[in-house]
Amino acid sequence: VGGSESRLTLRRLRPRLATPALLGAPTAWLAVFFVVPIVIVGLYSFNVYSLFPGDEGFTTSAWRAFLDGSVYLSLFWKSVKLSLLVSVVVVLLAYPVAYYLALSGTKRKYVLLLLLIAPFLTSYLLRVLAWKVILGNNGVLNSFLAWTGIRSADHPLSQLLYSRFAVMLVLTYVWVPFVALPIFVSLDNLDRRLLEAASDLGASRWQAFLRVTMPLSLPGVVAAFFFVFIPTVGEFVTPSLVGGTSGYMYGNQIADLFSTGFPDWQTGSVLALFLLAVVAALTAVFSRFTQVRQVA
Amino acid sequence: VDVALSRNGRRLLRALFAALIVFLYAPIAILLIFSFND
Repeated sequence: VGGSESRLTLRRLRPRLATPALLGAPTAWLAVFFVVPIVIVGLYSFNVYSLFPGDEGFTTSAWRAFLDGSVYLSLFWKSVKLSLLVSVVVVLLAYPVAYYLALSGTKRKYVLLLLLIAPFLTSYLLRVLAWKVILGNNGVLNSFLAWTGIRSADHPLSQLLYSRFAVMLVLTYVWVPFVALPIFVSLDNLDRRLLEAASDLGASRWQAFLRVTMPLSLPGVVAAFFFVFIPTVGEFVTPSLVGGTSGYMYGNQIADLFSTGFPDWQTGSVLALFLLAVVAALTAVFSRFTQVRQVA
Repeated sequence: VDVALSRNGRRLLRALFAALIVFLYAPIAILLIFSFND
């Protein structure tokens, strides 16, 4: 009797223990490697904590300087505008391609999809540096222009590299394959009978696209947009490699404030936390748009 | 009758797909060619 009672108790306890056992490890991981570093950065921004001995003491001076000053905020808005433009261009490029793959009825759509996303599987650094070879003063493009006689070899197009244009071009190049995926998935899951019904009811292809395909693929488009916008707004690798001074972004400023030279970890922490807050707010908006709606 | 794409629309999107593939692979191909540069 005692054995069966203990087995019964264990059986009752098992579902109660299952949730903490499953969630414990990932929660601990998040706490140690995500929450704790953010708390440290937060303490840094208020000068409460420092890894190196110094004159610690609570102050909001870095926050006030950030919010009152125009330098960092204008740099932030510059990055936001650039990221918005890149995200829009990337979605506009990826949507027709995803539409073709999902709805053209081609039997090789998954092979073509793999062909499209394969560059995304190569090294990020390699793909960015490849553009330095193309856009540089002695690069492929300028050499071609000199060879054809369109441009003198002594006067290459120097504004191609180390410019805002270069940053936008490379970011577009880097993100297009990745963004095509969520759009493809949303279009591939589209019920083709809805388009046939629209056609039967007299809608033209364009009307069917605007009233059926586009609204139903919107969650995928929104997801794709934020997949690009959120990482690019804090991007610093691409601007530091191909951006120069005019392509300098908010992420570069954060990296510079934490790097050697003239480090200012307090201001860097403020900038990083502000970016984190904006990204968190955008993620909240993003999750609202992409939430799965149950059909009764 | 294909309700999603017309014949011309299909051609246009195929061309766009091909152009995007060239855009995506050209830098990698150029880098590969340059790696054999003497």
